Amino acid sequence: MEVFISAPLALVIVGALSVMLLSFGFFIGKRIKKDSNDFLYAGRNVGLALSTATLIAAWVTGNTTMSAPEQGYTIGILACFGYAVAGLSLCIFAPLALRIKKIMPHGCTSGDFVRCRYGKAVWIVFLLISAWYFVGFLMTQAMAGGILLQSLSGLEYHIGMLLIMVVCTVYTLKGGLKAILSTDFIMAMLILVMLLVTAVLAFFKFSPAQVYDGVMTNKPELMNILSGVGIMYLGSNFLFATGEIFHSNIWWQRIYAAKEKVTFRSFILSGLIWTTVPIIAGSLAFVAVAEGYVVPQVNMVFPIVVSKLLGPAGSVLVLIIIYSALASTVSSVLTASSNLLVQDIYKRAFKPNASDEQIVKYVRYTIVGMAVVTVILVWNQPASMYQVLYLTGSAVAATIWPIAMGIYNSRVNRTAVLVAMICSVGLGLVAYFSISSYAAPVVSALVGLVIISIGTKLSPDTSFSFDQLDEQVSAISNK
Amino acid sequence: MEPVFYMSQAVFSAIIYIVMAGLAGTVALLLAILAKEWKNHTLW
Repeated sequence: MEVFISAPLALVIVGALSVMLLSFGFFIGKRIKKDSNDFLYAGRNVGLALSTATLIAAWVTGNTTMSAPEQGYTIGILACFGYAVAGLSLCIFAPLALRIKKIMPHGCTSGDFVRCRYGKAVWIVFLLISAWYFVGFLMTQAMAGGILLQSLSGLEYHIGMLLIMVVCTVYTLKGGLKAILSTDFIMAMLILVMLLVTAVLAFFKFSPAQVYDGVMTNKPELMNILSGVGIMYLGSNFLFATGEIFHSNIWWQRIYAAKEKVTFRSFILSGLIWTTVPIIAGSLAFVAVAEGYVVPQVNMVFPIVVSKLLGPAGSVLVLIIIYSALASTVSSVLTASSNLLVQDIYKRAFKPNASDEQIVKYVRYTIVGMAVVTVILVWNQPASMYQVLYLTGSAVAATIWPIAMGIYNSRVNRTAVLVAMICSVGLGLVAYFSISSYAAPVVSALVGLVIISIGTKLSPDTSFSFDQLDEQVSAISNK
Repeated sequence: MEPVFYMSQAVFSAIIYIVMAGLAGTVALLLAILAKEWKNHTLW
């Protein structure tokens, strides 16, 4: 197997990044108060810079930097835009985020909203969807850590996978969301600046015009903006990403953590900045097509192109970009999922009188538990994990309309929401297996829209009021 | 038969340059916001 950098050099780079992360974890851990507001919501007073950077860092995943070039290489220019529309999902969520901040400023999780808005049955379905998504997401990121180091340096898969999980778990445990926010800013800067440097160097060597001409000579279909697969990918990815953002506690936790006046701007700004990442990373794949590079593994097109263009320095840039992307996402998923599990299951269902210290203690236990379970699940590297993640497409798309309509319309029918979520997931899965993975989010979102709209039109709910939502959330939080 | 409409070279080049310039600009903007909030003690 071809390696791009030596194993010792890869370990030195990853070690240096890990020391930086752990130092922040311990430094901030000594300064945070021991209550859940500080540990889980960074004091609920986060400014624009950190709020924007953490949204970017959490949303730039291993998939963004590895999969966007892969899609560009195989499907074409439309797939690069298709990947980039996931940034628009952040922008679309901006007004909803502001509305969430206004109607329930004392909320703790996305589950709080669903339980108070729609009742217990919908809440249980919602938690199952969240758990399914979190496990799939965490598994792919842990695996990507192992595969990345293995592909770049030949290091054994388990070393990279364990390194990323252990480091992220320890610094998240020590410093909570404040440590994540600080490191996320640094990670976001590393990802964006390194990617920009890579792109500038690459397009300095081969101008965009030369790259275009090379693609048109070797594989012109990649420049077809009416490509059927490309259009399907664009629509499907937009709905998948929108479902991920609307329902996931990663984003809700950041809404509660931010100051109200920066909430809207941070989602818009982060969405716009994020959109540039897959377009730039994806466009580098066209260099491989234009120059006729041999790409034995299509999911490694990004490291291959950058290494060929820039030599060992390029491999170092790739390692820093992707490791930063993975670390920031793993820590965000760990803290958001453990927060959801402890607040929504342990506190609401088993121990309503749990103290603040107990909540933080159990969140820490759950972070460790989630990390251990993830390591066990990916120990024997599953062959088709990305397919497992795409399998969640029907589930996350089923949450789009319950969240979007439920935030603005007090008359949404609760039973219709329950039926819609179940039917959306079911029919989305049927579409996944009988049509294609791209069809699942589209079918799921469409079914949800139709059922909720008809149900609400026929029998509008008159018992719910937004004025009481924050009181209800506070009541279940402080029970 | 799939419909075909190729993106032109000028559009492709323009997108690459605009996106790179946009990324550089927004990174600078984010750093400026950080510096301002750091100075005003309003980071968190």
